Amino acid sequence: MPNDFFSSQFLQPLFGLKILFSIIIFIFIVFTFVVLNQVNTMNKIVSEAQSSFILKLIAILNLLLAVSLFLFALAIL
Amino acid sequence: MTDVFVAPTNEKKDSKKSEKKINNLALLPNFKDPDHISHLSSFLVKPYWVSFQNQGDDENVLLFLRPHLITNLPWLFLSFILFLIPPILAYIYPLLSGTIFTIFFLPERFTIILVLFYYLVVFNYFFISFLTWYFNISLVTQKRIVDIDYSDLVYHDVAVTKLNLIEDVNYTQTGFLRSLFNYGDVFVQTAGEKLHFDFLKVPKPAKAVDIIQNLIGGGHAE
Repeated sequence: MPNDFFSSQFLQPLFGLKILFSIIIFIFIVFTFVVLNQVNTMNKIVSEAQSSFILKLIAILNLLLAVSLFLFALAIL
Repeated sequence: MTDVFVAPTNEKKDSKKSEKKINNLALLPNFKDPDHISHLSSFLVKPYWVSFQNQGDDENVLLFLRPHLITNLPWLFLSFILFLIPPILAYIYPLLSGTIFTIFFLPERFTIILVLFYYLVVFNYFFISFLTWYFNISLVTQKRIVDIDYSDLVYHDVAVTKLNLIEDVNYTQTGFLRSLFNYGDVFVQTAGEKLHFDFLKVPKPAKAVDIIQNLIGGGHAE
């Protein structure tokens, strides 16, 4: 019984590290969302014909990469 | 004693003359044909593909300014160095096995996530540095001057003033790099609420000042 208790996943240090990684990446997702929001705001203030669209696309791609990394971390860690 | 003769004032004529001058900017020799589309340029005359918020229907952007491209070198260089760090560490890692540093090394799956996260952070640093340069814009139309300051991702300041409130325009160009690459600071003094409009590190500051002076009626055509 003590072995079952200590072998619980929740007490393994690597599980704590997994939680830490997930939290950090989640916070980073929020940051990339802020980046996207700022790109949209600045594109409304001043816009160029094609550049505005490309910048928005890169910001969206950035957000998607962060989300993908979060899901990937949840999956393999 | 009543006045015998009062000479007619030329105020209306002068205002009409200056208005006519402002409206006929296209006739000025230094307002050349519109530039071809260039999205990364720092100095553009009549960029017809650029528009801004609250732009009037009859208002056209005549001068478009950004900091000189060369000012991006520091963060570009830093991004390049940061990009190279993981491969260098991967090369050094086998040399550190068996030393005290091995206790800090994570299982492989954690290392993969860490490296991917690191490159995502580096990419964001690159992107935000680019945005900081890209959205630091100064615009001059036939009616107004617009100065957009963008920094620290979440801070932006948009200042607008009418051309007829401009009192003085001057520039400074000091230092070896600025002289070599021909960029400097343009200062516009106004009678509006914001007394100074600063266009920092813009290319061809002398030409920018000349264009603005032509617009306010104080310069000379080339």
